[in-house]
Amino acid sequence: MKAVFTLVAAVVGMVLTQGAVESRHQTTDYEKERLAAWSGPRLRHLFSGFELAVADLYWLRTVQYYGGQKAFAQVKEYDLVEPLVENVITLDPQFAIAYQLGATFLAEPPPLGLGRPRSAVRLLERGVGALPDNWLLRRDAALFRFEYLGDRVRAAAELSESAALPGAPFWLRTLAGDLARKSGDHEGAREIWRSLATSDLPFVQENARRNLLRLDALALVAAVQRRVDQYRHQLGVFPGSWRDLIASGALHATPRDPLGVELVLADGRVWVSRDSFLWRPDLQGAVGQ
Amino acid sequence: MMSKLRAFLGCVRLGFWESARKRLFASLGLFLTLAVLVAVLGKELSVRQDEKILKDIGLAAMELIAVFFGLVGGSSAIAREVEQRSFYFVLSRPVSRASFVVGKFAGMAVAQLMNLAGLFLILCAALAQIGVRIEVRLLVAVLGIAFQVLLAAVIAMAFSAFTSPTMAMVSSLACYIAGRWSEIIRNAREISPESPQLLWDALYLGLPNYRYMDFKALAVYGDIVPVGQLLGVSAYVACYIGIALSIAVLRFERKDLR
Repeated sequence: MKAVFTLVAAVVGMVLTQGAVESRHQTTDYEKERLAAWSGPRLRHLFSGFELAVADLYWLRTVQYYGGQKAFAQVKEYDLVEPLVENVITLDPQFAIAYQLGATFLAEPPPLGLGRPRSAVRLLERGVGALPDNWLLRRDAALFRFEYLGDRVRAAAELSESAALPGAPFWLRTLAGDLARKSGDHEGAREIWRSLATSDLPFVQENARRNLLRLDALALVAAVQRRVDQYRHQLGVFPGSWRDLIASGALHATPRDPLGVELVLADGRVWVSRDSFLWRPDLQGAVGQ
Repeated sequence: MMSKLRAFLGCVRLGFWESARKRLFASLGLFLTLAVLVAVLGKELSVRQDEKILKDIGLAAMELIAVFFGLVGGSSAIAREVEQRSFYFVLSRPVSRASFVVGKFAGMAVAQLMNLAGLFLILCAALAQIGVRIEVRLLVAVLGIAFQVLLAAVIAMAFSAFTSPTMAMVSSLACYIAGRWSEIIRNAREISPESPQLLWDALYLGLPNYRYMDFKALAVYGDIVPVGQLLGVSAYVACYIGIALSIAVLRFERKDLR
């Protein structure tokens, strides 16, 4: 009987104290500290002979960290992505997917990534150095260079190199030629994302599709903006709402982005709504693109 | 002659059953659990890297588990016989002490290799379960692990001729770790410039270099291990086993067992 009483008292005590302890518990970012201490060549020495298995564990951690931030974090911080990927490729320089997905995580602008395209291209270049026969890495390096850094000449040259590698599809050579001709319009970007949408990596595919929708949204915003500018030209004032534009016959219905979210009209500017999954800083006030 | 052979085979059988009993099933069970976990979780969490992850972690776990059980088996091979005085029963037959040591090692080696074969079958089943075709090149990695297990076991056995099972286990584990980090030993003068290079060279050459037998990365990425390298490593392992067994035999022959 005494034992039962003690057990019940202990359970109640534990539940009560746990709440108190947790409220006072100071959270320390142990992961950041650990990554600072356990990184680079030190890791290779530490896990001598088991580098690949540890690289896999770091990779799982990277995917979980990125996915966790993307899906659940209110303030999305991806600052551990770069050191985590660095550890993966230090331990296993042949881990091709770490370069591919790591670069995507790095290049995509917030809230989907870190918005560091130069780091992304650098990472892919390292991948090309480690796996010179991998046409996918060379293709991604070229496409990222074109899309995020706007370096079409080098991108086209790199794409031609990629096309010459074993296993590369024939259309890469055509794409390289097209890229060399494209200027700053969105057609080049569209071709890039279309080619990446054929990737067999689900995340890359999904990202490419999202970017294609983003380009559709950009085109739509530009078209609607032209109607708004026309309205102002004819009536001398900006429309106050979509209803004004519909009443004037410039639009048939409220314009919506490709995901079905209503576009925003404010002070004569057309924007993709912040509520839309397609919203990006570059879609805010995109005019006449 | 026949009776000597029969007695030697008796020692082999003894070594086999001692190693196989309990440990075999424990290691297989442990690995089976791990393989199933990695196969299930890898598919969900790795972005299409489940095959690579299962091979990497599977081979690494195979190596750790098999080497650990090799060390445990080897470290108790002679010392426990001496502690429990059970060798009297064997030595009462027409068998020399050298045959006893060699026979026990042979039996233990068969058990360790069977254990490894079991682990490999579990890995193959896990790979097949996620739809991966089993490639022959994985066997090269398993061969490398087999070399490591035999080496770890024979070194533990040699230590076990000198000291207690616990000390033999600790010493042979230290040898295994040092052998894995042999590059650090080779370059130790960078950390301690005053120390004599001869000391580090002797340690580097004297300790077994387990890195030579590590073909896991080559197997996973489909690179070919040159036949010359494979033969060289086999000869290195054979020489090392010969040295360790000789030391164990010499020590056991001179041991006062009364």
